[in-house]
Amino acid sequence: MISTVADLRARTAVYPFIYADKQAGSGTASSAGAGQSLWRIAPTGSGGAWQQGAVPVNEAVDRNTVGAYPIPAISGTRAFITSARLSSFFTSSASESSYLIMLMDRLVQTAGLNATLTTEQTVNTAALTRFTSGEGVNAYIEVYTNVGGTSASGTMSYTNQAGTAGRTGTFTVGGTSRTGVGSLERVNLQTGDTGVRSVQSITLAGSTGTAGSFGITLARSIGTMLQRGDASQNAHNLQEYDWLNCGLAEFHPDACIWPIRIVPGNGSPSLALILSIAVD
Amino acid sequence: MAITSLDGLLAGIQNGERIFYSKANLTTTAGQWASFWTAGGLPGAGAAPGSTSGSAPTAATAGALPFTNAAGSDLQYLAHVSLGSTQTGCLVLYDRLVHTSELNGTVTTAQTVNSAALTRNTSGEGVELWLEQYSNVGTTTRTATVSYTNQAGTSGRTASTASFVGSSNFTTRMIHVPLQTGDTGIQSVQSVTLSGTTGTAGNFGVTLLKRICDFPISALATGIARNAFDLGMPEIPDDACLAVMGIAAGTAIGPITGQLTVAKG
Repeated sequence: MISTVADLRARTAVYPFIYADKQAGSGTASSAGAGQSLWRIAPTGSGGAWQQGAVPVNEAVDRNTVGAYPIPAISGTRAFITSARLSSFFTSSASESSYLIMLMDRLVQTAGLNATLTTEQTVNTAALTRFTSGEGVNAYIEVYTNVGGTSASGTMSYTNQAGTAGRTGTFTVGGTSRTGVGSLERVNLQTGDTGVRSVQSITLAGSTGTAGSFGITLARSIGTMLQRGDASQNAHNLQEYDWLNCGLAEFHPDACIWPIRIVPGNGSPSLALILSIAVD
Repeated sequence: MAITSLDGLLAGIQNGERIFYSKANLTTTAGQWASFWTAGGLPGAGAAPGSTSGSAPTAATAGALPFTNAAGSDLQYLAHVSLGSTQTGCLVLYDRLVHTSELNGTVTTAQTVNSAALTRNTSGEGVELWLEQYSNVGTTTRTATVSYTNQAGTSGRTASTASFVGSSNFTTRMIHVPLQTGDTGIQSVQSVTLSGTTGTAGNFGVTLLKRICDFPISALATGIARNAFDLGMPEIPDDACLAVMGIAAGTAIGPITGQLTVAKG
């Protein structure tokens, strides 16, 4: 337990400045309220080690996986974000609305699902290596190769946080402004469930029109931060959060930190993320 | 125990929990309140209680934001909120104390409620009276008169709203009913009487609630981030049935995504 603010400050001095950035997404259009995954976006040329994540096969990931936000090796059992600074560069419009950054711990990832098939597609996700019960773990539909513009509903067969198999979640894939790489949708779990331990299969009720490639990503939320927009084109916005304003967000020392962006429109600005952390 | 220092808050957050919230948008009428209680998402959808006397929901009730009580004599507080929304307006986090349903929008005689007893804020002090719609009644505007028992235990009190529900109605609508002059709370509702038929039976009920915090979402921000001091660190009662309602500047509210941090100490 970090028992005093002075102790928190002292521990932050060990990891005071972790910087990495991503360039603006291209072709990652999104409709209002939908998610954008930054996993496949390349880093800017200005530095940082936040590399483009690979298209998954079916594996558990951690902080050493290429694509994870570059957290150093941590000696301790609990890690907390004590400050966060977000910087985005808006270029595409005369004004840009605010958006929400959700920091996630990316646990397991798959790809290769076909957005035109209406037969059951086997997934059988790799085993969780963190939060192994599945409590608080959510499943996301993530696009890796463009799918079609016809929205298709689907069901996901999974095992919940209590180890009960045969549970059914629902989701949509494809549709207007949800076809591009990085398009992200959370799967609605069966009533009463509070997490996902593993996913066995998915079945689409119809075709999106284009096979593309999408997959299941299992992830657990770490914290959320608001990046404010600006009324000016080519604006460079900086948002700063101290430990109070980011709720002392906690993450697992082996976390594969992965930001999701929730945007009100089709914006996809660059993102620089600077974190300070304290370890207990 | 209570959190009385910054160090205590630091410890309380480490001992606390985070609640993640995600709801799709609701169609509304500008300037009218909407309930996210029956909306799907994270947490899953709640339901109408299914009886005119209703029930006293808790943190375990489907639809409530999930949290567990602090241990022993410790208390829990709202320590941080970060929410994004694509629509401007105001969101309210509240403790849903009692809810009823199965009232009929075409009945013009007194409809018996005799609402379930409060299990939190049992004096009724500071408890608000709302009407909540689960399926649309008709659009003919009527006055709804509520007979209730106030915070002092005095029965036969009367509250009314002249705007039940009117045109541009939408499912999930909530209507605040001002209490009788001098009253500062409500313990229970005995009946509801409409001044005439609205034209459609629908399904509505009474919701008794206690506000925890308001979150205005301005056009400039399209979201909010608030720390413990911004929020006033409101206390969350044990077993609270935390839920959200909102008032939109336009014809939709949400989608809403974000996180609440509960500190315990």
